[in-house]
Amino acid sequence: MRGAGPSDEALLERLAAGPDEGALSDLYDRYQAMMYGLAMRITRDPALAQDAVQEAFVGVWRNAARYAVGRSTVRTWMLSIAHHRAIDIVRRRRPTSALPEIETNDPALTAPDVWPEVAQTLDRATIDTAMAALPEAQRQAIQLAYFEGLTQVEIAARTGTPLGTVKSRVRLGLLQMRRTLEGEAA
Amino acid sequence: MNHAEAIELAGLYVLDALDPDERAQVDAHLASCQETHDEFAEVGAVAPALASLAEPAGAPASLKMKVMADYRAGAGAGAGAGKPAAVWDMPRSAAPQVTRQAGRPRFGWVAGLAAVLIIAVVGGFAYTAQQRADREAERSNQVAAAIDVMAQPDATVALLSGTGAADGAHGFAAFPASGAGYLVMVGLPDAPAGQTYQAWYLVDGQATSAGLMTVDAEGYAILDGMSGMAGANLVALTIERAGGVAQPTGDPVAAGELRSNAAAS
Repeated sequence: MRGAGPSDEALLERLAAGPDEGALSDLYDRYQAMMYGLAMRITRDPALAQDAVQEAFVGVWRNAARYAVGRSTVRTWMLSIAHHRAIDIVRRRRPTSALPEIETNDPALTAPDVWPEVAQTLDRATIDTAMAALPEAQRQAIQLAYFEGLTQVEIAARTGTPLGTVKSRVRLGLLQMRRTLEGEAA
Repeated sequence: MNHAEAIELAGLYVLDALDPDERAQVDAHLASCQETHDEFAEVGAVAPALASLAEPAGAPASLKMKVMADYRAGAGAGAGAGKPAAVWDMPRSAAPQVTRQAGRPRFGWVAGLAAVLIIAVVGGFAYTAQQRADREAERSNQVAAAIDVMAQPDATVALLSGTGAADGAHGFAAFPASGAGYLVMVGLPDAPAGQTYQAWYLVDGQATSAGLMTVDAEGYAILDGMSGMAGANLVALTIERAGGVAQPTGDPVAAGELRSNAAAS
């Protein structure tokens, strides 16, 4: 996010350098609505969503030094942490395994790629349209995974689909979304 | 797990849809396989777009209080936050010795920070009390009583530090197992004209007013006779319009997490 005041990266650098409540406060003000909205979509419960965002910000300031400039935007990094925490909270309430304690800093996820920067300029309606254009089975599998926190085994059970099919539906659906959105952004 | 199997799981991996064991297998493969894994980045780049499908929604103001309190309470534990917030870094050479604390019972988790705070509060007050009359003496008694409560082994205590408009202020809230509690703040600037400090209890993110606080000429603000609140996990201060409000309207200018001396000792 850009605008008046320090850049996101500068704020994160300040957090990494030492206690800086002002930096955390600014990052919170910039991203709380996106993080809370995402957590609400996943948990569908205001108290759980607040827990997810609260835990996510602990992850942000504890891992500020691990953020790698250029690999992903601060926005992407923070939303990934919020997603991870919200999914973990949802899973804790089900008889399945919780997520491991990671802060989505995986090299594969944050490999240099300019497209995420482009994707940020796409509006919600465009992304929604790209999602709606997917075959129903692919769209359902992606939504069950991303917004309901189901694992591949749970998706297979929910949809009565073999595991291999679930894997390919999610993978092919994401690749198709990317192609569609790249076309929109071009 | 071979390369093809890992690639097949790329989509589920980037959506956090693998069991921990499966994820660990993919991680191990990514760490050891020399082949390229561009597809992980390709599908991973779609995740930010998916996040955008969620409608932004303003979180309750109390959530920021909790986030900032977490930071203040834990800033010494994580990477990038190697020491407590600067507000607690009182120069010991400038702090008078406080002998009246000798022989007091141990009071658990607050011992380190509270010792500094007690020195600040009592030391600072002792200085002014020598020069002022009855009002300061009354305040001295309140502060001493509050510290007595804070030192009780079964007390619940929050250490508060100021930020924003109250940057540099500090204080504590202390509630005994039974009886009245206190909120003591030091170094508070006057509230802006037409406004006041209002204290809050937070229970599961919901704020309940704990009372209004008036700052005296020396920057002290004390609430006594507080009943405490069952289930409260945070005490915070906001600046509100004169007379107070039913719910906080702005960001906290000071906050602290309530913790039990007994549980943490």
